[in-house]
Amino acid sequence: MKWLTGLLFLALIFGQFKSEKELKLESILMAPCCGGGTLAEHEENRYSHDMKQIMFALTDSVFDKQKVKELFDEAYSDRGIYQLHFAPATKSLKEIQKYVDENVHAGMTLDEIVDVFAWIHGEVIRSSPKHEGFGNLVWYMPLIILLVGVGVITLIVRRFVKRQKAQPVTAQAPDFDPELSAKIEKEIKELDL
Amino acid sequence: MIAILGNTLLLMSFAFTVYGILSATLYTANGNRKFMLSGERAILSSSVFVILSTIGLLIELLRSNFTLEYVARYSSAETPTLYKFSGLWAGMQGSLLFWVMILSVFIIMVIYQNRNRHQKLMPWVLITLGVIQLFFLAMSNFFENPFTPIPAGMVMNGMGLNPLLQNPVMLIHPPLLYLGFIGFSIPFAFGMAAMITGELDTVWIRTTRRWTLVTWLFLSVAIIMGGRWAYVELGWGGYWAWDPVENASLLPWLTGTAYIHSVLIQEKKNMLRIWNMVLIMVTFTLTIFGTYLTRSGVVSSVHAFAATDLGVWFFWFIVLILVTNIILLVIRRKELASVNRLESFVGRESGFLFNNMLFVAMMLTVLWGTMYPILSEAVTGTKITVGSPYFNRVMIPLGLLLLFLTGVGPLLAWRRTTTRSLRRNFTLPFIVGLILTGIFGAVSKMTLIYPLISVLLISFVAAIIFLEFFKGTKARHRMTGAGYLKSFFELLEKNRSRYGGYIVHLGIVMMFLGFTGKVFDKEADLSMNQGDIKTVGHYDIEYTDYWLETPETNPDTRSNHAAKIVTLKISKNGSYYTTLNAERRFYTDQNNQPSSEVSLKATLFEDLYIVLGSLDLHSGNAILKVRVNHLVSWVWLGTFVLILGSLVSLNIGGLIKGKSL
Repeated sequence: MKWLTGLLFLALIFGQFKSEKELKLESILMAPCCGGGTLAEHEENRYSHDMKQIMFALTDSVFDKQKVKELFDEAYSDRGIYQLHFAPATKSLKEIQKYVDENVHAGMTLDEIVDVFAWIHGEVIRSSPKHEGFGNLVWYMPLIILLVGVGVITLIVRRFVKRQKAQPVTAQAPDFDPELSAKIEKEIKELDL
Repeated sequence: MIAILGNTLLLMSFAFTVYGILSATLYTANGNRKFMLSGERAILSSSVFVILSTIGLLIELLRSNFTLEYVARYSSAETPTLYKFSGLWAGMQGSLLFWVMILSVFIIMVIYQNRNRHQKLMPWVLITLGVIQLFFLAMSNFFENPFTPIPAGMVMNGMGLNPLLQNPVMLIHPPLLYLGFIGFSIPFAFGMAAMITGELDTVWIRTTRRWTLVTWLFLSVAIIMGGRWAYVELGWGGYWAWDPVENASLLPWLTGTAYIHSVLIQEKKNMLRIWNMVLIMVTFTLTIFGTYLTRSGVVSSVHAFAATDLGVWFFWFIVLILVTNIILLVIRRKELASVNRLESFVGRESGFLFNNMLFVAMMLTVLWGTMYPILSEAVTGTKITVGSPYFNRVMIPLGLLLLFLTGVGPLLAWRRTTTRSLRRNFTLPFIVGLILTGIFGAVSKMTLIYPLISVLLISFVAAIIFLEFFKGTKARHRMTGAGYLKSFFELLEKNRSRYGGYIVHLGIVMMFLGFTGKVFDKEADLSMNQGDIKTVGHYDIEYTDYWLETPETNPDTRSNHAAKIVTLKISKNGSYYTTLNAERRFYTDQNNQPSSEVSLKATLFEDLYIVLGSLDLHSGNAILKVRVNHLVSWVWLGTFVLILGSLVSLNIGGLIKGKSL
């Protein structure tokens, strides 16, 4: 009963909690400071905080380009972000301002938002590689490994099973040895222990 | 004085190990028993020297002898005594010494246990272990010496221990991880000895069976403890982030788990002999590879040691292990061929094969994802990241497939399983699974496919395990007439390996329940002033008080840090629930490095998890991260069940009564 009560709570809509979209946004970019995880997995610092603010502003239902530009200005006027160990900004504030002016618009998809940060910080800022070019390899390899594994085992089992089936059948029944039979039975039982 | 002694002992142990290896090798060439005894004693002495040397370093850490560079770098006068122990494995030099110390303890145990046994295998076991010991001793002596002195009076106080390591879990997690890693050296050494001598029957497997299980248990618990540490210390709300160093510990666990399953086939059917050799070789190599990953700087990780020249040496050591093993496998391939054959696709042997394939596929996938950034940079010149979203996406389906096999495997009969038997064994658990999944889906309104499959498989496997216990107990009760409880314990006693394994599986199932709960996790960021009440889900959080504690105000409990603290009164569904203090610490001996102390109220169903991001002492404004995490306790509970099952399998009673590992 406790369980059911507990599960019922899951169905509640939690007003103040972050939305699925916000959580998703925090998981698609790495924390730029140290690579210690995605923005969601990393302790909040000023760099991760600024990036989150930009992302939330970009996906806000009421898109305010001026606010977005100000947030970019605030984040990338901080010299610290150009000296980070893991993913420092590689574009100057002027370049970023120009890029934002020309490319940032309302209704950007998650991929487009990530592309903005990848342009500024490099591909290393993406929490997982893009599904294109060499990046495809990382995504398809697990499937290839699994298929090869299943294929190899299937071949092994089929080969052994076939080989056994092909054994000639003796016309006469083998001699019945009760002692041997008892021993076999005992060993089969032991196998299941 | 102790430092000089420690350093001398470390040097002596290097020399003694070289002699031991040479002497044992001479014995294998000329058969003169004196050489073997001499080699054995030399390696025993070397091992004792290493242990003494480690004790020496520990004493210097406890005494805060800052004339040693290592002590000055990883502790301070203010570091609490308990955490001075952690200093032993906090840095590269100490951790290498700690590694070789554990190996030395294991070597002493192996020599003692086998003093009158396995006369043909032991010289090569000794040589293999000696070579591993020598490698780490060389690192400790010539590259990363923990006894490097600095002039007296130059450093008045040390730099202190990394705040993240100042957590009780960190007193247990690293030693367990080392035990788990290094323990695989023993079955590996016996496997090598078997291949070199041609003693390829099941003796080496049986001799190391308990070693392997104990090692596996240590590694399993260590990995989960690492998760627990991340959960309560890092403050992001989760316990596994697929960090390269976390992955490094998972890799040998995956192949090690495959190995403890597949050796059962070799023990019972004398099959998979090459495969078992490959598995133990790969598992051991992965333990060294994990050490290489954390020390070479090839991957970026918050857990990794700084990049040093050691990486090159580890790389060549791995190459040496692989080349030697491959040559031996090629030479012995005919003798290692299986005597018995598989008879059917649907039999326990095939089930084990699929289980092994899945474990290895998972290992290769994790390895691939971990190493891909290096490969990508080498090929395309672009630095990329493969983070947790990738691993979650590719590993969840594999994990679910493995969970399915966890249930199915034990019910398959040896040789072949008939369709009738399959139907008889699986129908009821499957129906139970479907009913529970239906209830779960309806109540939680869950529409995502993976959580539903996960619940279906969790219920299915749990039902299978409970039915197995029920049927076994009932059969025993009918056979002996004893009570049900007695019959249950007799069942465990008579079939330790099988039923211990089921209990371990039950622990894994409970962990999967914990993993599944993650889809319901919720998070909120709050900015609060004293007196504010904010509602988060069904919790009302009242910010009642805040204050500062410093080493001056609280010298006993806060000797090396100051702490900003807020008190939060929590009500749940309108009634008082608990009071939590959330802390933000600033370590004075680490340039005021901040660290959050998670405040946690955990129940079986959900955890209320609060992290203090910042606190302005003037205005009292606090930034809080509040998470409601679901079913996490099942991960930790599952660990206890896993330990219990492993102890049943190991016949811990027998071990206590004096049976050897």
